[in-house]
Amino acid sequence: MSEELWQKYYGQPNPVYGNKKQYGMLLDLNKCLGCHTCTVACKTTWTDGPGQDNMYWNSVNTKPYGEYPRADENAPDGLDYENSNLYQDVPKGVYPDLWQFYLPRPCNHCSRPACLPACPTQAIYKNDDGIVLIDEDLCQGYKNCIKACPYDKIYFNNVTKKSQKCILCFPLIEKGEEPQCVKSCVGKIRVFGNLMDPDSAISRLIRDSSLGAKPYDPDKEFKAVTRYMTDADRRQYRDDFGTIPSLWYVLPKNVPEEELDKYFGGALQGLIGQPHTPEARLKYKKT
Amino acid sequence: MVKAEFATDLQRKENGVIMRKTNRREFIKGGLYMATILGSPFAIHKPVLAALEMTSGPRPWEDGYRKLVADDKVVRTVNLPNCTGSCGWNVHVRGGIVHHAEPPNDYPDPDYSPRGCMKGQSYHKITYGANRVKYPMKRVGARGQGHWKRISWDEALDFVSSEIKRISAKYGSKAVWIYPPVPATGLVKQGAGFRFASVNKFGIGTFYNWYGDLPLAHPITWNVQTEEHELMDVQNSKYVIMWGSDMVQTRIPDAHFFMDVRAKGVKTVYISPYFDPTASAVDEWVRLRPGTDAALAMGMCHVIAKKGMSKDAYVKRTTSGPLLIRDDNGKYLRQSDLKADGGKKTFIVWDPESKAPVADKYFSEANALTGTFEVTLKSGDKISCTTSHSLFLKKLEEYDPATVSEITGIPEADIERLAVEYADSAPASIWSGTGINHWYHGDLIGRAVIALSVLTGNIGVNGGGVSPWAGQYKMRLRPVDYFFPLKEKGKKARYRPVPLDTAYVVNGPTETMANRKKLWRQVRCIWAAGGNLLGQSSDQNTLLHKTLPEVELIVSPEVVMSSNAQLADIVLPIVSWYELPADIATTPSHPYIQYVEGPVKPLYEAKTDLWVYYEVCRRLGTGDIFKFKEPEEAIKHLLETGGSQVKGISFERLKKERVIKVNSPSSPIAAFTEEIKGAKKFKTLTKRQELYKEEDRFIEYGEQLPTHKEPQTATPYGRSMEWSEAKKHKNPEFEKYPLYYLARHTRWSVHSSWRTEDLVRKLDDLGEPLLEMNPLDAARRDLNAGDWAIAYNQHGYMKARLKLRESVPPGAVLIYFGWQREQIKDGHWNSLNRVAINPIHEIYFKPNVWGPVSGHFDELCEVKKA
Repeated sequence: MSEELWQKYYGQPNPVYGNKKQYGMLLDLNKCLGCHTCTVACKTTWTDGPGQDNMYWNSVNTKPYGEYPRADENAPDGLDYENSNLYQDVPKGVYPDLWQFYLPRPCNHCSRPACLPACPTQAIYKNDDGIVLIDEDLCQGYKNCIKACPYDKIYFNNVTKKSQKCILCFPLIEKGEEPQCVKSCVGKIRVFGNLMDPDSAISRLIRDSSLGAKPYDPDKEFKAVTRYMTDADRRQYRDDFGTIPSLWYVLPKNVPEEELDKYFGGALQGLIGQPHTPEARLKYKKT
Repeated sequence: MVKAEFATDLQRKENGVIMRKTNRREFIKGGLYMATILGSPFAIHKPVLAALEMTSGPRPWEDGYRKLVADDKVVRTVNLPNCTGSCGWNVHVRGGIVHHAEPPNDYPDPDYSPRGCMKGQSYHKITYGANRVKYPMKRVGARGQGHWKRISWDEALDFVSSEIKRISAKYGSKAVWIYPPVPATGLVKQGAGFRFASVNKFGIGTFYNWYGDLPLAHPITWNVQTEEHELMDVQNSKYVIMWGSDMVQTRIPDAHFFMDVRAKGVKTVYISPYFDPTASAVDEWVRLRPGTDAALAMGMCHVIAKKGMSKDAYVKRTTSGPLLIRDDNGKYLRQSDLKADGGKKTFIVWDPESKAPVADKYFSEANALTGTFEVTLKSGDKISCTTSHSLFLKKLEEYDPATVSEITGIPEADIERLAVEYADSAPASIWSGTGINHWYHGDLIGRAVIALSVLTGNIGVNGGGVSPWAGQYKMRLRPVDYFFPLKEKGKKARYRPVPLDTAYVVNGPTETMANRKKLWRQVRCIWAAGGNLLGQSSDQNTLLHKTLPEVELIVSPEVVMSSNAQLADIVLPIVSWYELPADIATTPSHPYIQYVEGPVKPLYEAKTDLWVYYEVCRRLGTGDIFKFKEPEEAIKHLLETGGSQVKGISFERLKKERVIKVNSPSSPIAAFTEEIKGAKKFKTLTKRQELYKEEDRFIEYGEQLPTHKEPQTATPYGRSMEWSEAKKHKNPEFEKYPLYYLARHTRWSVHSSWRTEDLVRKLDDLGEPLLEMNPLDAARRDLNAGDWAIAYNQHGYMKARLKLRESVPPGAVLIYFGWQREQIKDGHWNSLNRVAINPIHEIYFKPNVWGPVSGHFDELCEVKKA
């Protein structure tokens, strides 16, 4: 990511929501083990309750075939949440010319979330840390946000009749700790921090791809441990939805470039300058 | 440019609610303005404005989530599965109940933090799980029928003790046989199993070789059990080969070391026929025909020797290379062969200066590494002798790249390039796994790989070595006084159990069994201390139908209702790791000794293993000798008698610090660092790294030197033959069963642990056993994904649904194992393999050091629609 692009995204407070911090993550896909420790750390902490059986705020799938939730005409709302890790380790190609990669996905905590304006009861807000939250007191379960999120990262709890999603472990951040999926990431693929702070480890690592392959200072604020990051492109997943995700990925080296472009299209190719509206997802989703 | 006025700080009210001070309206105007002016990506949309108006004010709902991490107690403990992880956890307890666990990230070396995978993270789901064993139970009805009677602890202990007395009186106490626990996974509770067997003179089985985890090449080459580098040492490598070790899937806490060095620009290579998760995470994936790894290693040695890239001075100083071998009988030439008063353990090298045979001096370079020489025996006869290195080089002649390519299927150019890359990078490390060890000739594969590392001077240096990864056997202290207590203080005599290898218990004895007369007996009582023997054992059909009917009592101390418990006569409820009062744990993976302290009190009627052993001993009259009832006392004893590695580590210190690095001559821990500096000699007969072996059976089987033999079963060619012969033959079994059969580890379980834990199981594809094969093979058999299918051979079968993927090479079937009885539709994944014992593994019998190594990957099958 160029300095110029960083300035454009993170060089000033969010012009719409005013947050002067934007917490985000950088995930090195070369290092992901597909072990789901992030998923389980999240699940055992936050979604272990009634109505959350198949709810994974953080999911990991083997790309290209793995998908969570999966589109299914027969399922309620057209989405099937069961067997979240179907197609585990099913690569593309013919033996021995194969590729696959694991894609871990929590909520993107977008700078320009599609879910937020879709909520008819105005339950969704972006807090001062840039975390997108659903106020469960206000949520009436209309599911508009679920339909609006192009990443399918909002889940309906059939017991409480509320929509629920990743909270980026805000209660832990308040205690000065990294989110569970970062703290527990045993592959050490995740770096967490404030994207708007020019000196934070994450914003330095995103701007300079060579940084991370050599030791760097982790964020003291969160008692973080050092991680090594591959020197490769940093991009957002499906940035073409236009919501400006706060999750950045280091692209896997073993996947053909043209295949990667399908997932990590054009953030760096200037696509982002074009206007996108939440409705745009209708055009993009499930293509 | 308009800058909106808004407050910078969050203001937390007393009730913990976050509020904004900003006038949002004002700010939004600014935002709008900016969007217009700059053509910002942040386009404004009407609902946004409406939403923003709602955002000020308290958010009481947030407190609901804060409460979920407001725990009243956090306890640092260690989970104790046999995965080599030995991972610490901060267990969060609320209202006396474990809610979740987090990595403590407190390892003295931060590179080891965080460690611990999704299994350890969700262990409390097993603690509170529905299939916990809750109270002692006695079987009513037939074995495995599932009918149980709840009994009291006293009834259970009295019954077990009286049965043991009866069996001991009738067959001798060694007919009572303890299936041993893996010792490092809780030294007190696991070691107590050994102690229990010792003080009562019971029989005891093996675990490390029985599982197929013992790399027999290590005792063969170095006369050690196993020496591996701790995993952090990957960081010191300039070239890394993972050889048949699916690190990404089976070594989760430490796999990042391999990704880290790759990120730093070190080349990583994975050798395996399967497109495993590791294959997608390395720079180069090398594929070969299953079971031909020794040929590849020998081929690489060939290239290195031919190109003059071998480290000859190193070979001269530290290996059996310069030692003279008698051409007449294949034995090492000894000083006693040359003169009457010569030493029987003094070996001979050729001195190029004096042109005479002289006694070998370790680390000397004054010897001829190659050549054939005439020496005069004490009888006056002249014989010719050749250095073992010359014999090795001659052996290497058979492994030119063209031949190796023919054997393995790897292109010639790739073999040459890999060899040069490996030899050119110093230090270069090899991390080998069960993938090359679970073979009938796994010892030969291991020896060939070691030869490659020796030839390039990589043994004994940080960042080098051959480190096999299987089994949490390594205790990092001297446990002998706890395992085998002294009969009298100050004297040497100890209480000891009577060993009988698990392979013979399951399979019956062989003709070639070491010490058969003394050791073989039919076992009449199995105490499955080491876990799920009856669920996980190879050769299920022999075990269940031939062996078990001879066994009069099966005792299963268990946490959950495992397959073993289901088939037992008595099931005893044991505490889960989260209920353990205290223990200590170590692993080969990292250099730390850790304190284990369960965060909650025992559930139901569960008791510790230690308590159970003590109570049974008390009833057998050996309670005073067993002595320990409380784990704290046992920990103190272990640390006090533990020797130099734990010197300075007291009970109090360990309990306080929780994780302490043990003392070691190298850091990171590497193998043989002192030996290759000449500061110490190797523990072998010749005091050198022995690539050459002289025992009769090695000579009989033509295995004095590393070589490639075709697999004993899984080959289309002549079974167990060297290539020049093998290629002329066809394996008749292969005609009937043309698919390689591989039942292997998954990331989702540690053996059978966690297989019935729903949270983790649900993340494993369909959450049920799956036979996985290449779509091409499926099409040939008219099979589709999701079909019920049967994998079978002459030994047994397994029924499961089919998963098709290209990761499995054409010609193979794999199944990720660990499923319990109730999860299997029909058959058993381990009924297709049998216990085939290689006589080389029986030359000696030292429990868990030299014994039959399971070769259960050496198997074939066919698949049909169910």
